[in-house]
Amino acid sequence: MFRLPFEVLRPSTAAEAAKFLSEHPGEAAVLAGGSDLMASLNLRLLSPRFLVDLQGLPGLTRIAGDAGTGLRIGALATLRQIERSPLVRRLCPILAQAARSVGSVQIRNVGTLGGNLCLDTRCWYYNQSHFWRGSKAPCIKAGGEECYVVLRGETCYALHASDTVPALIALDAGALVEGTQGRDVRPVESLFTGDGKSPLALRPGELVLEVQVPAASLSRQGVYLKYAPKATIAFPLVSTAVALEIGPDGRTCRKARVVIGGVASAPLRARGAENLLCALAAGDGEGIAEAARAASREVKIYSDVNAAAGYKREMIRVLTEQAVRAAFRPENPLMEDG
Amino acid sequence: MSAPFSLCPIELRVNGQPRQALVPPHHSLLEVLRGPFHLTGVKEGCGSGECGACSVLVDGQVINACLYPALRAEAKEVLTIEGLSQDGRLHPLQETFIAHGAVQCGYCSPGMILAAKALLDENPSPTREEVETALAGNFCRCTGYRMIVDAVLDAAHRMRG
Amino acid sequence: MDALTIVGKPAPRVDAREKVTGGAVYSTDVQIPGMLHGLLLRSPLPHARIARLDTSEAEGLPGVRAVVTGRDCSGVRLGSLVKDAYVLAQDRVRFAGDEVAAVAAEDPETAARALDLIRIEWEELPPVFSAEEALQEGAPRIHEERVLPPEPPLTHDPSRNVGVRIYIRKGDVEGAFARADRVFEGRFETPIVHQGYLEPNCVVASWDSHGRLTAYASSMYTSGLRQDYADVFGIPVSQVRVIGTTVGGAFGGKISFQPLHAAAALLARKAGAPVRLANSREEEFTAGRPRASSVIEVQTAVRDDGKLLGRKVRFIGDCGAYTHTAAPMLIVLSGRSDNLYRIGAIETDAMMVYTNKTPIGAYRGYGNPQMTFALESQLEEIADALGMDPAELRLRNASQPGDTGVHGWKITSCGLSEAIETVAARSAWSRRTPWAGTGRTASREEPLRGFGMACMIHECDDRHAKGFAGSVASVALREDGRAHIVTGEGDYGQGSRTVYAQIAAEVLALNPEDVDQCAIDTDFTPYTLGPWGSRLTLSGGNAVRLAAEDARAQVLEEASRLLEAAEEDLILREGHAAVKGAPEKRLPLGEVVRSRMHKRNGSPIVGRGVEEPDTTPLDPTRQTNPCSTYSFAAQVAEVEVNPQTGQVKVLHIHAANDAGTPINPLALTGQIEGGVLQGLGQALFEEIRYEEGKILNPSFLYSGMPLGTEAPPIDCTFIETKDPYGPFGAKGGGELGLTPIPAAVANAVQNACGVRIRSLPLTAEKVLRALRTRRRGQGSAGRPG
Repeated sequence: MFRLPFEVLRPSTAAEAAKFLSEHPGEAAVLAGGSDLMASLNLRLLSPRFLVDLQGLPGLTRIAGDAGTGLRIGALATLRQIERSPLVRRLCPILAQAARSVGSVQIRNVGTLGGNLCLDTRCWYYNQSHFWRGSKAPCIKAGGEECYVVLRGETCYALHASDTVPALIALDAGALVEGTQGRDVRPVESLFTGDGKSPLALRPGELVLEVQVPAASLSRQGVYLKYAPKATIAFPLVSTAVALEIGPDGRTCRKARVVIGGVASAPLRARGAENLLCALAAGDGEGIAEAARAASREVKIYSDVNAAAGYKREMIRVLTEQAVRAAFRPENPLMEDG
Repeated sequence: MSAPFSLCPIELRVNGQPRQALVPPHHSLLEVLRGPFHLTGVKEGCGSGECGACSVLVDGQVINACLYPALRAEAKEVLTIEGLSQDGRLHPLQETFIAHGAVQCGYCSPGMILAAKALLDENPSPTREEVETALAGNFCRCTGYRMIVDAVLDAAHRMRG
Repeated sequence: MDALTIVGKPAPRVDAREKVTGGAVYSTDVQIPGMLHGLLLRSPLPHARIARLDTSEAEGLPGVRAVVTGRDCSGVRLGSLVKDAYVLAQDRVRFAGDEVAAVAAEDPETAARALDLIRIEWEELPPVFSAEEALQEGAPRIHEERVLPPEPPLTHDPSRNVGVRIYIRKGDVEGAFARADRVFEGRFETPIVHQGYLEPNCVVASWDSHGRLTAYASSMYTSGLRQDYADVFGIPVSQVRVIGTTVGGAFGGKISFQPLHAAAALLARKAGAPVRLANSREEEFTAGRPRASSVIEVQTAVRDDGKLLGRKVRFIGDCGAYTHTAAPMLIVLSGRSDNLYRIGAIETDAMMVYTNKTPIGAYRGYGNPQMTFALESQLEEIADALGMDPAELRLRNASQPGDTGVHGWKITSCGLSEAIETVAARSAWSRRTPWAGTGRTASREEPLRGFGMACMIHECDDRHAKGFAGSVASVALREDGRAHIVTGEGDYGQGSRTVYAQIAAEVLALNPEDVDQCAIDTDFTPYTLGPWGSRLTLSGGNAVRLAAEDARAQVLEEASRLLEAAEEDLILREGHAAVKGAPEKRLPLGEVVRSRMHKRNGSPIVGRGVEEPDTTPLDPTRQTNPCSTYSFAAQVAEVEVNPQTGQVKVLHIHAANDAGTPINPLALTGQIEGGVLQGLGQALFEEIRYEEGKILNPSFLYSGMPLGTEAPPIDCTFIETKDPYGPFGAKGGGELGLTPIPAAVANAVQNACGVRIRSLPLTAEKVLRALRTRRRGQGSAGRPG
């Protein structure tokens, strides 16, 4: 397990970073927290000549905002910072919940929101060492033509494993992107291609600088649930982020977001479930169960080493039902202290 | 032999002392601590952030040194297990780890103790569950963890006085 | 005898201080001036012929100091009994991970680049990955030649891919099955699991100018390593020195000589410099020596009153590409579990079968966990079918003190029945109702609770060969009154050094802190058998006790002269020799030592202890008594099954352990609790998963080993039998925590929700699938017509 040599560059502005990255496509990788990147470099999944270290860019660790204007989180805010931020915990508990379900304390102390947002997809056949991969023809994600998950598959089925992204999509969050042409804000949901090989819809040189949760979303009652065989240092087998906008009666859902993570190359909106939840009232157990069944049916899932598709589907149903029930309660009961 | 890469100078504080080194940019903090700084109390268990054996504190925060680019440590304060006891006096966590049987083979102990220190620095009165969660990034195959959690709770008690 | 003051009391570990300060030197920390860094080139393919191997480019890389291949060690065979392995591949590789070549360079990165420059042309051979397939006619043959036949009762048939096989028949098996009211049959499966020690295998080897080899190794068995080094290099054992470093966990995984050890020394000889060779974590999974997977078919003949009459077992283990330690393991596993209960007729056909997978090795229990999972799972099925409390069924059949087992094993101290009663009483076992027959139906949403029990027997100080089967130690008293133990028995985390310090301190009336110990070094420490079987407390402890008693006698002799009192009127107390009833007449031990040394014809005080148990070499085909005594345990697992996800949550483990009278209850509790969590991992999560001969999960992340958030409360109690042979009544206890858990959990899951899982691990997906199958089955059975 040896990293190939690289140089580390420390641009002082985002524009400078973007320019360098755009001028060295395929040769430069972005270093945010580095926990996932370093692990990938150890496996020689990447062999960049340059790492563009964003740590020197000003203001990227800031968390600011209020209920009136929304929440803004710098891309280099660590997951630990987010999980512990009183502001995030008060305004946006679902995000704190999602952040704290990543890895371990050690990982969250360096892992950033930007890094988790841009987390590469993972696969049993791709996230292996140089030695391991050496005896097989390269898979699609590694630049070859084979897929070992779906035999004769023509696209890459590597899985999106970020914990925070489903929560951000459920909040209709936006991402402030720095590009060579300047900055713009895009829906987080639009950043994902659904292609396991190149999961991010970002061009070379484009950098996520900030995540913005609109004020309107902060009133949503949200819950993030993750299902993994073990409680710590585990990527989700299935995860569900549910955010409900509750009407003035305090119990009827006006708008719903249901996002399923861990089972496809991008987080999936379960729109059928979302529609079923609209106008549903807390306590409508059958309605909630129906929406959860819809969520489990509408997403396309493949069996892999982790679990059979049918099992994952069933876990989506169980998790979604549990998350929706919890989201209907005004006090998020799943938000533990700590 | 000639190195096929450049070397970059870094300056940092390690266990309270100013230290300098010339570091290949692709090296991890773990490689620097165990290599030029000879701090072999920092253990490598997996090299990929899954076991916590290489846990050290950087500016008071516990991190996996194996995934931490060495150059990131520039101007930072790093604490390894070698810097925990003062003047030959053990830290309360070291004492309680011994007293409670929390040490068997000992390979996880340096990282485990530092992760526990980071917790207690932040939360002097943790619950049992908080200790379990805070240490869940540190793998131990010997003890079954109960004695480790007991040791941390007892150290917290002693440190509160 | 006076009441014990040190033995039997919880004692902090004597080596803990250096471990919590980062000062302990593990093999991975060893640095020698001029030391080079080695790396192994491993086969990426599971089965292939090496058509061409070209190392010239690698050798030419600046910074590379040596490259070795099979040509550097042709004619050398490795293996325990069956010598079917090589240091480096000769012309063929047999598993993905097989050692092909090794390089040593001035730094690790150069070594890694050199590996990339070794060119190999492969001719792939047809592989076989399952033991049952490998046994079939026409299966690819993995070993062409018959190697030296193992000693009887083992057989070896590479033409059928049988690495090693044993057949045992005791008692009237046909009669037992004919007399039986019921016969129960079951097929059980266990996967490959890894020991998961945190410090990888590592060795630093160097040769001096006289051709003498020194190896710093993370080893459980330094004498074995020395012998294997001598055999591989064709030099006398006196020309090999093995220095045992602090060991970062082992659990059996560092007991044997591995190609890594030989390759480091080959490189060091060729480079003329010390070479360090360490496994990466991936290499540990790929080419360590994990626990064998198995398929176990069990038939048990039972009388309606619960009396176990006879048993037939067919054990098919997957030994991987080479037998490694499979032969001794097979001997041990094929007889041991038969002595847990009084069963008069046994037939066992057990074999380890070659496949193109990682060779297996020793791991805590050495075949016992696999067998116990099968046998104890089936026992609870039998109890429920007979309408009998499983605890009662076990009590009716449990071995008792004074029994001679079906293989001739003499049960002396035995707290099995008391252990069963204890775990039943301490848990809520009395609330257990069998799943079937009481009309319970599983809720589809609420958690389902259940209880399961399992028991086990393990051996202590197993005499597995014809030669010496004991332990040697010496205890010196220093001029300052401190004691110094010299033993070859190593401590790799379990706490034997502390146990030895307690024993010596007890005998010499010192504090354990006043007892030092020699680091393991084959130049200074005596020959050891290694921790095969659970023998360090029992056998090693007896040797230390004898040595300390010898030293004590020498002290008394000298003190008798100095104090002018008869030896029988003297006592040792608080570091002094004193006259009974006249406490003012006393001398510090140091003074006694100095007096004896510093005179004409004086001598130091050094006590010697050589213990050898009165046992017979293990041979399950005959009536033998290979161990001085046996340890026992019973466990109850209380679980909750989530009927929606299939997840099994272990609420509580109750573990009652007969490890004799514990010498250090704190350390022993640590052994049990750690073992329980390992066993729990193997019950619920752990499995090394292969696909086409490649391990899919060679990492802590995916192999399922538990973290702290998976640890349940464990209620650990000791059934304090006083073993007649063990030091101060103690027996071994290292295997007691792990072994029963998988069966206890599987039994509890069955009790909770009515599904019987006969293959480990009990993953959530597996449990849910079984639950649904059962629900569907019930649904159709319930339909009219």
